[in-house]
Amino acid sequence: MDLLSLFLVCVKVSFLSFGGTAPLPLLHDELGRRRALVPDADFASAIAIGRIAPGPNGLFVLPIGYFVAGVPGALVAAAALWTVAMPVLILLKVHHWLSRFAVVDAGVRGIQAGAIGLTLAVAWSIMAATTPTPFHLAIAVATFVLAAFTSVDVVLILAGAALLGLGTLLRGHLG
Amino acid sequence: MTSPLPAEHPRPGLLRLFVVFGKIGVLSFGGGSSTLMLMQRECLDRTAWLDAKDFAYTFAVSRMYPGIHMLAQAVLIGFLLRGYAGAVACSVGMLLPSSLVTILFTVFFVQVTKNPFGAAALDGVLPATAGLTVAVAYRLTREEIAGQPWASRAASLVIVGGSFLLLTLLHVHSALVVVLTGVVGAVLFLRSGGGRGPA
Repeated sequence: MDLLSLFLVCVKVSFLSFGGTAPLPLLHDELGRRRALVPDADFASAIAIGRIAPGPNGLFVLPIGYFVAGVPGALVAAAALWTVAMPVLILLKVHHWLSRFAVVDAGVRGIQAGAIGLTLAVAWSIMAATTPTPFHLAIAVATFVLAAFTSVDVVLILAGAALLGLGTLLRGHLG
Repeated sequence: MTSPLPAEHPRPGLLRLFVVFGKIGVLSFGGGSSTLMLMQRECLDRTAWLDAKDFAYTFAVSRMYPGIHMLAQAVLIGFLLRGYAGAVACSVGMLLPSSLVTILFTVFFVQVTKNPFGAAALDGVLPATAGLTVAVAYRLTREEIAGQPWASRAASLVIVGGSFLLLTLLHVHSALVVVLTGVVGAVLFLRSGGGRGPA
């Protein structure tokens, strides 16, 4: 994929999603399922990188850009995020007028609720690709429980999962 | 264009805005709430560049806009303080340093996972990200339905379940699902009284 196409895809999915994590399912559909450019394992890596590296929520788009076209791809993804953010100034001008219409608010709520379902669909796909054994499934379930119902830091959860992965390698060597 | 705020309002320098928002970007760990807290601390508590009302206004407008909400809010804060140049300074400040760190981290991550130990660690991390993504969806759903009347909760759950099924089972294009959820949401939330209504 050339850089301009990558830029346009990133702009499109960002304009269609509200909030940092919301472009994930659209990017997955566009670059993973339809164009087969980024496998599910790389999407999972991008999510992990996005959670560990600093920055506003949503920079996982950069590692996805990197997996498509290296460092230039990541820079193009960042440029797309910025390009989408700037026209918020137009909304600033029309916000008072738009806020008179309850239908706009209801439509945005619908898109936000839809984004949750789409995020679940990505999780489903990544789950299928990354849990070949009951051991991997147990890691996924334990992570869900810790992240959903406790306040344990996500970086600590991912570090624990990495240690479990290392543990299986060492057990294989020792065994 | 200059700032829409009154002339006596603070006018921080563009370089200062870039540096402060760069700091906010690279110190943001763990999602939107930490970014929001840092922005509030820098723009209200430490500098009094904005009052709580203006900050809340930038928050509300950015939530109605697609893309990364925190980045959109940085654009709005910059615009209020220094016009278009301020919008560029704050948004580039928030994005550029944190993006460079993220790209460096990605290169490092890819290199590390090429050796057997890194690959083994990644083998544990990948299923964890699947669980993490389900947890994000769960927490978002909980926030979405909290304090809502039952009809609005039902509408949310129908849209969440419907969009999941459309993408997973029927393989409908995700962009079309987004448009559908907007239309269905406009109908269901207006009927259920779950919309926040006119401001």
